[in-house]
Amino acid sequence: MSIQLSIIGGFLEAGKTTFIQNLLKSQHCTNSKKTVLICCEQGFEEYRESILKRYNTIRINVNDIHMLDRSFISSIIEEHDPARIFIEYNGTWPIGEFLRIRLPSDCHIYNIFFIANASNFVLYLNNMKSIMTEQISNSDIVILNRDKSLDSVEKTNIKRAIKAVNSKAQAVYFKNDYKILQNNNKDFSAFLLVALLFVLYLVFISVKNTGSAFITIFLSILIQALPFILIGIFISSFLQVFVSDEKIVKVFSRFKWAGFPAAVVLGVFFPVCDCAMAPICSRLAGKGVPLHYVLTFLLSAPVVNPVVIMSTYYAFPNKPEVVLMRVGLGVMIALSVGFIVKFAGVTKEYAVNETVLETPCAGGYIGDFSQEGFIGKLGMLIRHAGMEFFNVGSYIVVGAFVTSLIQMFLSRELFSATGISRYVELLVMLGAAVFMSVCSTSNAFIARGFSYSFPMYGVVCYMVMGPMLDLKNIMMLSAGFKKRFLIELILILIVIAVFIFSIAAAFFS
Amino acid sequence: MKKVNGEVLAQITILLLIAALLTYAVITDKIKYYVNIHIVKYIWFSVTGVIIIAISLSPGLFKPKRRNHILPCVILAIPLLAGIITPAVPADSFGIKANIGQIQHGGDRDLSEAHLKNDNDIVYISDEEYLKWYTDACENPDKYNNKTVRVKGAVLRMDGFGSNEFVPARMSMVCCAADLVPYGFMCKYEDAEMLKYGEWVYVTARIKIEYEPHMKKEMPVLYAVSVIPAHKPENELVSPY
Repeated sequence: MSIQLSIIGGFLEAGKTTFIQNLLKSQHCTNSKKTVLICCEQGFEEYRESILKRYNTIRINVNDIHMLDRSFISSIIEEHDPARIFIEYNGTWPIGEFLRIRLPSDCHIYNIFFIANASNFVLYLNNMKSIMTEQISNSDIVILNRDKSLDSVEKTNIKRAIKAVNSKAQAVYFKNDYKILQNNNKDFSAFLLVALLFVLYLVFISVKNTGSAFITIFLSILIQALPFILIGIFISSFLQVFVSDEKIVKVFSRFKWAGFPAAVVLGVFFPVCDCAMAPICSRLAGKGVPLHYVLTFLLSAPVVNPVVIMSTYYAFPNKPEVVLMRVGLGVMIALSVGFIVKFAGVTKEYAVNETVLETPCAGGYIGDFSQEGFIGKLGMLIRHAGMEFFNVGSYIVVGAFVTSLIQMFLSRELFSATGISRYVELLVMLGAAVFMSVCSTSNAFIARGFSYSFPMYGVVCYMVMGPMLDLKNIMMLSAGFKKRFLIELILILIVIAVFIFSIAAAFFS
Repeated sequence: MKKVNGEVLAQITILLLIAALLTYAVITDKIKYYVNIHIVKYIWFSVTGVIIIAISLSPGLFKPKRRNHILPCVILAIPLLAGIITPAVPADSFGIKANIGQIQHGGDRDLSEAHLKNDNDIVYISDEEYLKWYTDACENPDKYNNKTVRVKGAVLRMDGFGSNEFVPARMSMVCCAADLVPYGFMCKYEDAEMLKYGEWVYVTARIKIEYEPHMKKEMPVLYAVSVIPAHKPENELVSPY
């Protein structure tokens, strides 16, 4: 049987010693094999020799992180032949350093605990952010103790902060009769994913000839979106690294009602594809900019974008009223959503994912966030952009996949159905906006195709709502916003769109 | 020997593969099947961007983490796989390649391309002029009334077309392959039903401006004099800008 190695991390006086003594008691194995306890820190509370003796435990002290290496572990195994090894890890050493060690083959890491004192958890997290996030992000189980002085809200907030750093870790409040949960989600999932990739590979091979149109559409959406996503995440990372939360919130709180027109006008200066908007807006919302401004900006930017206006005019030459309708109704919808969100009093906590909110630099290797100097910050910006790329990237791949699948199976002829009522026409155009929206800069050309079989207000509805409801954009937003909030947002948008465009229909026909 | 962080290794591999595939697509000119030519300059930006990110990740390569989040990398590997495996072809409705020679169109077939070019009354629209002609004819249809033209297009037939109707069209790409739209006029031709979907043809036809029931408006309609097989143009797609 292989030797189980557990690491118990946490700051001085977090209660590591007490926890380990409990661990010795509760998980005492009846066979004659020993337990080795490696202490990297001399705490306030001493181990009771009687307990160590009773549970057949040998204690070894280590004062230098460089002493911990493969040969050291091997020599312990050779000398004591233990069934398990506990390491009381020093709270100031990164756990990543230990993980670099190539362990002897008969020895594996069983569990990594992080013990924390709940009463000063928030204080420590603010002051020792980098070392603490490093340890938590490498932990399997976070044990919180001394929680008597805390109310339930504070307790949940701590749990949330831990989940934000490491979504896979269990956070539990310590009880004496606490049983260690089995750590069973091993590399199995990684194996499953590789198998999935292999299946996909076979699928691609088999559809190589017949399905190549699907794959071309899928890839083209991604190739076309990639530069704009990169621009988006670089701007978002710039905001994160160079602009402090207080500064940006101060700028926005100075506006009162003027914030709404300001958010609309701001969009004119972002002549980028709408794919870039999702990361930027998630970041702005995460930094505490009022949600009603963020949403107004998000929804109006693809409408007032000068490139979009140009391409719309190009697609509908000699029809300036189409351009005017697109801009006018689009801004109206963006502002309505902004007002609704303001009056509904939606809070940041309700709408934004904690991962964006608390600690975006969860990975231990991202390094210290408060690094000084321009070069240091620039490096941080790029590393942060890298993290965000993988976060947002997977969402857009899924979005593009579904969009191109639907484009393949629903041919455009389906959208030329005639003799349907006005409301069904609108709904069909809304459906097209969700599933068949291409970039806001080029959807006017698709819309021209619709204009032969649909009335003008429906076509404008498609153009305006396309960038707002586009499936891949919504997928990207869900990397930063809570899913429930996004669903509510979509419903609000659809209701407003039906309302406004029905009025427009009555007006123009 | 130190352990390697699997997650970072996967991330760097993915980023470098993205850069390599994009560069390959641009150099071999296959990119034109995916995106409009004016997007190419942005692609160089993408390539630079992902390489910079890959370099910035490399210090983390030897800092292992307890848990690796491989899922995003696996998802991003899907388009890479698709890109490596499938050859680039235009994603239009002409997925089926035209096969010249298989089609039998009676006497038309004997007319060689050279023979046709000698006819003086016919306006020849070259591959490069197609877009210009199409947009001009859309905007000033009367200019072309009763003129005879010869244009090249791929056969497009949709549900609801009569047995004598087809559209010789070129696909236009504004931004990417997802927004392909056919550019072409309705053409009346006796044997339209016998044409193979997606094959390239030369259509010699007289243009009449009349009400077109499918599009529900006055527009040019082609009355075919002859339809003969053609080679596909060098650039199958046209780009409005």
